[in-house]
Amino acid sequence: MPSYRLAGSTLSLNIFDVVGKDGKNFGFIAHTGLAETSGLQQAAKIPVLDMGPPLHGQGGSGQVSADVVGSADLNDDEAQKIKTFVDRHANEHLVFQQFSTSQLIQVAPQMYCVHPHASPLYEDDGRYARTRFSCAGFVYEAYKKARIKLLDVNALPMVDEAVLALAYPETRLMESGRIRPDALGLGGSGPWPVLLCGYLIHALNRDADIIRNEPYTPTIAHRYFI
Amino acid sequence: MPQPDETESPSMKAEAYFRKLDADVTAAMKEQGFPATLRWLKKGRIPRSSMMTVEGVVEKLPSGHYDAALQTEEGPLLLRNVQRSDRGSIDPQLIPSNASQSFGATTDSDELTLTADHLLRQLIDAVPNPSSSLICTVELTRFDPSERQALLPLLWQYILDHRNSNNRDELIAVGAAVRKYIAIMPIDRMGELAILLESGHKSPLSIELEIEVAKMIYRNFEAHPPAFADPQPELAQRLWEMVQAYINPRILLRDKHSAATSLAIEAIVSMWSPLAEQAMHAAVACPYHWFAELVSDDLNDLHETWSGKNPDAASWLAELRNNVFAHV
Repeated sequence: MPSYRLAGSTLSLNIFDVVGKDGKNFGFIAHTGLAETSGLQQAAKIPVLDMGPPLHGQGGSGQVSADVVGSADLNDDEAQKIKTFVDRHANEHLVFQQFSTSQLIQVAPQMYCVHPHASPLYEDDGRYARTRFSCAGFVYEAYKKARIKLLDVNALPMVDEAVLALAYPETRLMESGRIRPDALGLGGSGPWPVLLCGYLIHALNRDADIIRNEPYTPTIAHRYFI
Repeated sequence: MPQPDETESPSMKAEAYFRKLDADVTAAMKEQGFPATLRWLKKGRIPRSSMMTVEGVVEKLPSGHYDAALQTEEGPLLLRNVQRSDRGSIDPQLIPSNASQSFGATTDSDELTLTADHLLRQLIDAVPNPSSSLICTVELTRFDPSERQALLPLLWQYILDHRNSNNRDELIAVGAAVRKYIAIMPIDRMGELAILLESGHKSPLSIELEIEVAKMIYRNFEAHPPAFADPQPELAQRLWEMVQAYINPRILLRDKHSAATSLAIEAIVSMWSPLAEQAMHAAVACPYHWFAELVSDDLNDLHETWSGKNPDAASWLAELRNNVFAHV
């Protein structure tokens, strides 16, 4: 099903459709999440399951003012797998609701990562209590759990700091020293093969059977969906 | 396809923004005095003018809101968790006030203390009723081996004392305590966790906490495959009881039961338990084909992880999986 850019104030969604929001630059998809419910919705306030941060699970009050939508026309079985995936991970991110916004910044690397798109936070001996995600990584992993590999994550384009600054306004926090870039997976001076939100919208902009059978290989231009 | 210009430096924009902010707030302070300007700022509005010296920083928060710290001639000003307006992202006139902070008022001193020994002392002092935020902070902190020995009984007691709570924050904290406890406990003592899954306790463990217990058992054995079969038979039995209770098709789709049930099955398998085959057959016999696929995929991942750690356990799992999930 073709992905599309929203024109009106309402839209009809299937559960777990992928919604994206423009960043500061028109067309640059800077945030993404999964539609929490199906049916007619207000584009400015779509309930979503997303890695805000923090992660919003079912009933977690995540909301996005959507600019673009992509859909894989999920069947019931696929939707159940995605729901189970979210239910497994949501609880371990609830602790962050106990903290102030300032504290959230302080502990951001414990709930969020930029590269790789998903990464357990290990104790010293390899055990772990939480999986960190980027917002795009959360959506990618949810679909992967439903046996839908939207992207070839081993063939992502390399992006530099300038692109990341558009994708992650939080990079200003890195510049200010409040978050160490390497704590989010951005070691060295880059570039890095970061999974960007726009890639997901392009991956969904194909026929349903191709979406399921061929992971999409994005180019650097696909960070935009215009 | 033409692409928007990305060449403008964020630091240049920030510099221009602060120059403007500097001028506006300076003028307001001179024109109407500090108290009046402060009232405006608290409403998220900065009167336009062209005087006054202000230095400061504005940071975008993960929530999408902003924190601002301004150093004025009259002293520091802090704006916490304010929103910008969609009508203009860099016009301070349009920054709305935000009276409904999710996390309450914050101050400069609200940085979390993540120093292990300090937190441990706080926790000991707070027994028997440590705050939920303290427990959540403990979960995010790394402790050395000796500190873990002191921490474990405190977390265990918190779990036992609060697992029946009706308070949402406390239940979140119990979840945090469960994860931390299991993530740092000695592997050979994991049998103690069976107590948490016993039926017949005065009130059942919530489904959310059952998910956390089953998940962490699985993760522990994923990282440390059992050296021999059936290391914790009682714990495996409690997990099997969970599976039997929840895999009923009338139950499985309710609330979060599919997450709890699949994790319980996978935890049983990760323990190299004799119940593993029964548990996997239960998944296959479930009328929801997607459920068996989910478990099968996860156990495939477990096999990959184990292959590099414990070939015997990996070989056992491969054979079992091939037998039971041959057609999934």
